[in-house]
Amino acid sequence: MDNKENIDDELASIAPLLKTIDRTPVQFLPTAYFEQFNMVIPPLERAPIIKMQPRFNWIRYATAAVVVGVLVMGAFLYTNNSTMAFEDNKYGKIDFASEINQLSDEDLQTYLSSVDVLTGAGQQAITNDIDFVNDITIEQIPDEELLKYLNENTEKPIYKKTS
Amino acid sequence: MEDKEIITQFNQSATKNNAYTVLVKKYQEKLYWHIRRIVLSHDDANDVLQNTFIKIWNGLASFKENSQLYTWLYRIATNESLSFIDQQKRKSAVPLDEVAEVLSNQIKADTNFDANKLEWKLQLAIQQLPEKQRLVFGLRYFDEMTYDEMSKILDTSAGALKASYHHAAKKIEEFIKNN
Repeated sequence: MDNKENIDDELASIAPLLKTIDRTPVQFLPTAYFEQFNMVIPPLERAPIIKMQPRFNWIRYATAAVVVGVLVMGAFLYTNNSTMAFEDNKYGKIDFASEINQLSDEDLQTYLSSVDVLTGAGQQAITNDIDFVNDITIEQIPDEELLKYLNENTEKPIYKKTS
Repeated sequence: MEDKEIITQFNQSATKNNAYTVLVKKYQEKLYWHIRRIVLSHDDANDVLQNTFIKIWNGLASFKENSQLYTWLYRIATNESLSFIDQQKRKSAVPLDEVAEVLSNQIKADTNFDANKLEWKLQLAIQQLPEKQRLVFGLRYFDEMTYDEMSKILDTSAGALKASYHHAAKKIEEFIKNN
């Protein structure tokens, strides 16, 4: 602490009136306030530590399972789609007509003979029907059948001429 | 008991409570008046003093002895008082130009108030100062602190504090002469 004299000397040079004032507190103070002032420090009460029970552990496992499932499914679909897209892209760019034109007749014949579906019984029946149709001439078809065919396949109906 | 001895005893569990009681008895009056000059009313000063001593109790074990205990206690009391004042300001929302008048009215409300006494004129004059100047003036004029000690409490350079104190003292003298 500073010496009171030093402070008074300082005051004498800047504000001499303040040096003359009594510095004893003049404000109201309850009787024997400092004698009765008691600081009671309450002991720190520590709150009991409650351990969290693992009651809802199954929820964590279920959530983890769902997340893993979604991830696996997503990864699978993503991979699959990528392959398909790649395949589509690959075949989409092929010019089949020019590729087939480049094949020799022998190769085509070999291929056709090796595919059962095209050379099987079904294909034989179609070929037979076409041959059968080719054998019939238009004169052999009755007028009524021709008219019926034309009526079914033209916008304006054609009626039989009455003589 | 010397401050060093108080700290040593406080850090030993067997003598902790006794050391604290000694500390309270030794500093309660100085800290009370320091707080009272800032918050003005006795009831508020009592509350702030209690809080200050609780803070001291909680922090004394970690007090670093490279600074003086005396300035550390004042620093806590000052911070507690200023926090209290800030809370009051937020609650009351008094306009800045009316602060001095409100503070003067608080001084005049004291049961011991006597407008003719120089001591009370001094109290009224102090309330005309800005908050920081009030603090500086009080620490030097009433608590007789050196500028270095004040510097540790208020985190301001000694030079700036000296200038502030001189300015405050002149303004107070002028106020007393004119009223």
